[in-house]
Amino acid sequence: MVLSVIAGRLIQLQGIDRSAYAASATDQRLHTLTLPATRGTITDRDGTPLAETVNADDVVADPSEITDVAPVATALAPVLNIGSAQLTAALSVTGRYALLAHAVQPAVADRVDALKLPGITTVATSKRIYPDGSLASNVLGFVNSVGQGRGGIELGYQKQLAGHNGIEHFQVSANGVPIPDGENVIRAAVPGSDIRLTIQRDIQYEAQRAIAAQVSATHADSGTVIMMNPTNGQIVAMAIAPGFDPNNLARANPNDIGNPAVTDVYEPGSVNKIITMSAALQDKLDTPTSPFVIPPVLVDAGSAFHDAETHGTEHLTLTGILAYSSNIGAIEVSKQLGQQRMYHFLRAYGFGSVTGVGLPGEQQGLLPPVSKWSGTTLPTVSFGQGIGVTAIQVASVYATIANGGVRVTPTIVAGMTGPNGRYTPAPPPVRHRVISAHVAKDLRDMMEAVISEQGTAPEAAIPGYRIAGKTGTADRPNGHGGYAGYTATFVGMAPADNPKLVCEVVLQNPRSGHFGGQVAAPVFKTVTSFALRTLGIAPTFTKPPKAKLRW
Amino acid sequence: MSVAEPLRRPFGLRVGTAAAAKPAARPVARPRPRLVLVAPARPAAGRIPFVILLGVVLVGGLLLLLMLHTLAAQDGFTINKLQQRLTTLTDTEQGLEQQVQADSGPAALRARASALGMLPSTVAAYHKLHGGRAIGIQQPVYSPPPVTAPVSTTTTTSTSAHAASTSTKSAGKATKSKSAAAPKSATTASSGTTTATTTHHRSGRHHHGATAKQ
Repeated sequence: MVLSVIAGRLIQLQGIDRSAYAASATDQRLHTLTLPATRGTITDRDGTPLAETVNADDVVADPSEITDVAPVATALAPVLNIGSAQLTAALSVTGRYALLAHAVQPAVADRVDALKLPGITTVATSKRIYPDGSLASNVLGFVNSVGQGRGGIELGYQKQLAGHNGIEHFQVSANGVPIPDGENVIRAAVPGSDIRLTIQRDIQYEAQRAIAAQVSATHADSGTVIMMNPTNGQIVAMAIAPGFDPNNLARANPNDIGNPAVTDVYEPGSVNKIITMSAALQDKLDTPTSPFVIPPVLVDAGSAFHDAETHGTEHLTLTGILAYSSNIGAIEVSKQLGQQRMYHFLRAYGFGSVTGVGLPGEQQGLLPPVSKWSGTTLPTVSFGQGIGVTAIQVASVYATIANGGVRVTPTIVAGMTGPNGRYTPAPPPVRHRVISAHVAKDLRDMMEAVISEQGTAPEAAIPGYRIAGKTGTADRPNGHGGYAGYTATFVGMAPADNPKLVCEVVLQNPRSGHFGGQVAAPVFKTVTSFALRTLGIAPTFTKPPKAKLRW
Repeated sequence: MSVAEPLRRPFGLRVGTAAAAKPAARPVARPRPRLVLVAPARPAAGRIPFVILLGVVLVGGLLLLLMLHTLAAQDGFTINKLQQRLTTLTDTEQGLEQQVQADSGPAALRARASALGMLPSTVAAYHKLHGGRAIGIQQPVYSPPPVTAPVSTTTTTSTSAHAASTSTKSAGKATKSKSAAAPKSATTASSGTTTATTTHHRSGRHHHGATAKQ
């Protein structure tokens, strides 16, 4: 009788409920672990890391195991560099888990372990660090608390940087210790790709330093510097002020963590005159020495237009209009062109569409189609008001002229190193011709007059080098249909007769001085002369042409 | 096989009733085959050695299994230990790399160079490799006191070294940080010369203003 009961029970356990018990036994023994993929490194063009993922440790506590909180807090405070009062509060919670410090350096974790405090453990994790702090932070972006890109390159290339997590099964003994023999990696983690930028770290630093100094000196809202290699479209530096330190995101101003070089849409002002000029030259309507009569005031489509400085009737050449940055002169040129041709060239230079630089959030600007133009649109656009552009779009216009009239899509990612360790350069940028090489040369010659003593930007001159460039002092929309403050710009290239670098400086709403030649040109000079030295670009030792500004 | 069973008949011989039943069929009288006494089958071996053999196989197997397990466990522990060591070494490597990066970053270099009384050069001079002529603008960053190092007229590679050695004389400890401060200049022909012509050591503290005004 007893035997049959036992036998029945045996059959029940081994026969009927067998699979369920086996599964629960396996569950107790078998643990599944996610093997996190290491996030790729972002480097500058020379391979110096600008963003990388390193080992770190979380310091956690089991408050139920700590009977006396005070000595534990006192011992940890100097090691973790956290106030002991704050630690006491963190340790005094009920439950079995309290995070005391997130992602501390392994050396710190070692010191915590060495204290052998009851209920305190360190858990291995990883941490995204930006070794140079705020260097190129607006380009790099940042990651959230779980290491996902939330801005800049970190967001734009999230998929490539992240890689794929792996899975590991392993068996543990009754007391939770892994059985050494039982490891079973189901899928190994695939690390993320490393991204190499076209940014040069030293020039980036100098650009940030110079623009930050000028933003604070002129009490501007913000400032941007973009330096490009016009021959291949590569961005050598993209500096934003004020910036932020992605290592300490909590302390950053939320307004400063974007990249206004590609997201901020503003009215370009007189830097746009180069498009008006290039259209007139390309359509063979004018030559650099074509004569124009500039009246003190021009009434067009019922509006009166003035120049920045009051003057009598002037006799300027096309070069003179550019050098003195005459609005009335630009309007006269645009009337030769007509709306359609003006619009054609604005589009051909890339206004009204994203440049394709590959940075998240890039804006296309505001360029209404000709059908929506009013009578005042053409004269206004001729000197750069009434349209919205981004800094990268303007830099691309000048890079086109620097590159002999061929527009090269700006790029900021040079290439990627995949998990197999092989470096793949980025695909070659798209190129298309906007103006002829001859017109581009004429425009550069004309822009050299801007840097002369008679021009608007003698402060941009770099001793020994031929510099071409253009100033812009635009009225800034106040967001309520009117204007308040200025956008001061200088865009230039060096050496003018064989440009290797294009540099754009934009200051938004400077309050101490506001002319582009006055506040932006000095920054151009500082950054460009540093870059010429750093990159070893020698002067060309040619003489600039004699510019004829008047007739 | 037991002894009770009939004996195996030798090949080609017929023994038994069938043969004996037909004596007339015998054409030729043949001699009767000689019957040989076959040795009896060996008695069954004792059980003891067999049990011992089984025991040996069992114990040996167990020992082997134990050894294999121990080895596997030992390997597991070795892997564990090496992985821990790898982690520690990686931590150390990353820590040192971060330190190097922090010290060699442009901000740190600028601060240290400034502390040593150095100024960033504002211009670069270039050498024509043919004729050894210095071209480009050469001007001091800061005028007094004029401790201008001599301009080298040697060619590319020796120029940087010369510049470094001259600035050692004029700026003492500055050599290392200056040559690091302009890492790219070593690659171009003679911007090293710029280092020599424009680097001055001085005790003044006005360099930030001087730089901005350049």
